[in-house]
Amino acid sequence: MGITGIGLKARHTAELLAGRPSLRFLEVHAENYMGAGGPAHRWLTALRDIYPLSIHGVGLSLGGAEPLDAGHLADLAALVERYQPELVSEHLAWCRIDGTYLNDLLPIPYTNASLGVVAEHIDQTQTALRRRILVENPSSYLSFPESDWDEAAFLAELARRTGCGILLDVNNIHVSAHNVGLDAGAYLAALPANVVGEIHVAGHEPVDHDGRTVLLDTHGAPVTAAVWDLYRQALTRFGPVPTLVERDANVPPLADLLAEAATADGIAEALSTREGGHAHAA
Amino acid sequence: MPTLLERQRELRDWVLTPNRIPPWPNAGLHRDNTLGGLAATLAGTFPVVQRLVGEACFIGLAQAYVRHQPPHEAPLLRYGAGFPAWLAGQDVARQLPYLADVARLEAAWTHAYHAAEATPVDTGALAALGDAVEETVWRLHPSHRFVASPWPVDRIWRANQPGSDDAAVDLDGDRDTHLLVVRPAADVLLIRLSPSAFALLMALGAGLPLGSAWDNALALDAGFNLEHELTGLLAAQVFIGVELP
Repeated sequence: MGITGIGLKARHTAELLAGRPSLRFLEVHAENYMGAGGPAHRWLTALRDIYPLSIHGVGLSLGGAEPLDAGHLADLAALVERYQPELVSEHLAWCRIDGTYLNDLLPIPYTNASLGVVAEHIDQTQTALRRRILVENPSSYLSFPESDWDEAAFLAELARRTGCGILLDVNNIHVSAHNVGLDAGAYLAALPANVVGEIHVAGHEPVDHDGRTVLLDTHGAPVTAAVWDLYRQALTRFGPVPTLVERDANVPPLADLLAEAATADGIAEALSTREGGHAHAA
Repeated sequence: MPTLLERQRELRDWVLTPNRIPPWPNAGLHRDNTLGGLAATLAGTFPVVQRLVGEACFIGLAQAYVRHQPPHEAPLLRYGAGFPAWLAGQDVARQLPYLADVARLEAAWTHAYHAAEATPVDTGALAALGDAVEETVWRLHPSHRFVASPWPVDRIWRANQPGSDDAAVDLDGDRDTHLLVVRPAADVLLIRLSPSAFALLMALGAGLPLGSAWDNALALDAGFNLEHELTGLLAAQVFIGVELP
């Protein structure tokens, strides 16, 4: 068994149930399982008997200026209670304002005021879920002039204040490094070694926007060499934490995702061997 | 400097209102992501509507709807429930008069797909009721929706499913469609009913006892065969309870 999991896609469900390929875990978006019933729940119920689950929320709006949506938080708590996932995560982002949802992971300025708001929302979430959550670093396309903190220090402070862990998306760091000029190596060094509970790797795509090239975090392409390199650095610093190969667009055949998962496992194994430790038993 | 709340309202206003100045650099990426993502969600719920109007037209309609009625809950499984009624008021619905009813059928399908599970009553229920049968109340599966249309929306829907052979649908030869959309097990069923059977089920769905519901059906068709209809509907696992009130 390696350390890598994949996101669950409906089109791969039958193949996963039939072949049961070796995977550390399956990750699902919480909001896709907030219907009362239906095939999605039937599949997830069958798969959770085979694989540990990671429930990854995209709609809680931890960075929202308004109070958390109490109904949504209750639905998330019920989902976690029902499926008993190994990992639960959300984002350092906002998506809800005056009750309207914008279906995106939108950036917040890293001010002292924001820090208080997000820390309180993480506290409320961890209380409602009765467990620690992981909070994911966003992909950034701008820096707000009013920010008092850089992003890594902001995340480290959230972890210190709330006891939450960090879901480190190394593709997002790579994308943000290009788009807003942050230093990826310094970012990893600024996070405490023991707070990272999961890593995401994913693909991105360059687009021309207003006369310059922006890297878009599309989750629609294979992981690039530069992101694998940053992943290697992250494992070196944070150890062999559960890793997700994240793909939400241009979803390829299951075999292709399993091959990318094997690449991540190979990197982890090579590091483990080089350090004189034992690779995790296959 | 703006507060967090002001930052979030200015982005919301920029995303949802056309022809504004972007509030910050690269805000357009977020606007495109939000409008594009929600239009894709609507395309996922209304694939036949998209096929009927074409992709470019659908994206324009979907983004206009998103700005008119953005989501008010985080899960998007139910997003677009108001799209059929909104669509009925758009120009394209005057050119394609069946379009809004096709959208209603697709919304009903999505409702049924995500609805709660429930155990159907078995086919022996009818025989076990005896003399009190007309007093009984029949509970329909929670996934059910009724769709009635002057157009053959089920045939339009089937002809536009992936892998279907694109058969022509005769819009004039097959009018007055009455459908029950329901998911008793894994698959969503589209059951075509006679107007009288539709009236029976509508009345049962509203909580009327079987005798009153039967009267509604007989009013439309004096030869309505209650036992025959109920046997078929029980076999289709449409009911989850038969009770004496």
